[in-house]
Amino acid sequence: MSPRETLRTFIVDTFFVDDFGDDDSFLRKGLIDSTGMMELVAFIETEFHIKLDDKELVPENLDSLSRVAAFVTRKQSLSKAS
Amino acid sequence: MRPGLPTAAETARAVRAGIQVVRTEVLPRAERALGVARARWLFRSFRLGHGVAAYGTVSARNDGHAELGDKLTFLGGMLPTSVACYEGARLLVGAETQFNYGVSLEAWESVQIGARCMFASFVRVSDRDGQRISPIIIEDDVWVAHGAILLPGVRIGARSVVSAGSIVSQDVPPDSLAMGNPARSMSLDLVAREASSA
Repeated sequence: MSPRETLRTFIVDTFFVDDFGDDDSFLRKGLIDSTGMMELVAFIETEFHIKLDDKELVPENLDSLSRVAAFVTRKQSLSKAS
Repeated sequence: MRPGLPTAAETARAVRAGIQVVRTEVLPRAERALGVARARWLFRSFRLGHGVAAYGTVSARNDGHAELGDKLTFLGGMLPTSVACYEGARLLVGAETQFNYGVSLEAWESVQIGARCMFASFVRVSDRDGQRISPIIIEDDVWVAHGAILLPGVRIGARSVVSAGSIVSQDVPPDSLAMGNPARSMSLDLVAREASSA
C-alpha cells in the first residue's frame, strides 16, 4: 500500500470519518482535533519509521491527506539518503 | 388612594431594581475590594503591583526576591494556591496574569512569568525537582491548562498553550500547543487556528 492509502485507512478507522478529499483541510473540515493530530503523528512515526521534529508539525506538512503523504515520502527519501 | 403614594406594583418594581443594583454593582465591588485587601495582606512580603486580588486562600512565602505585577488574580476553590520564593531565588510575575485554585508555584533559583498568562487549577511550576535546579521562563499570553506540570529548565514561548495533564520537559516554541508526557509541541495553526493557505 502506498503511504497515501495507509494514511487514509488509518484516518478513516481512527477518526470515523470517510468521504473526505485528498486536499481537504483536517482543521477546517473538522476531521481531526488536536489529540487526533498527536495520534496521527505517533502513527506516522511508528508506521513509516521516521522521526518528526516538533518544528515540522505545521499545517504546511500535516493539514491534508496529500500534504501528509507528500511529507512522509519526502522524509522517507531523506532518511534513505542519509 | 391618595395621589403621590406609589402603588404596590410600583413599590415592587423599585425594590426589584434596588436588589438588582446590589447584586450587579455593590456585591461584586465589595468582593473585589475584599480580594484586593486580602492579597495585600497575604503578599505583604512581596513586591506587589496595583490591583492584585486574591479571592481564595493563598499560602505565600517570600525569602528571596519576588515581584508580582499589576492586576493579578488568584481565584479560590477547593485547595489553596501556593506561591513560594525561597532564599536567593527570583520570582517575577507579569501583569494581568490569572491563577486558578491549587496552583503551586515554587522558585528556588528563578521563575519568570510573562503578562496576561492563565494558570488553570492544579498546575505545578517548580524550578527544582529533587535532582536539579534550572530556571523556568514563561513568556506572555501563555495558557497552562488543568494539572499540567512544568519541569525545571523549560521555556514556554509566547501565546502557547499547554494542554491539561501535560508534563513539559522540553522548551515549547511560541504559538504552539504542547501535549502529552513528555509533552510534544505542534503549531497552533495546525489544530486551533485557521490554517494558512500556503
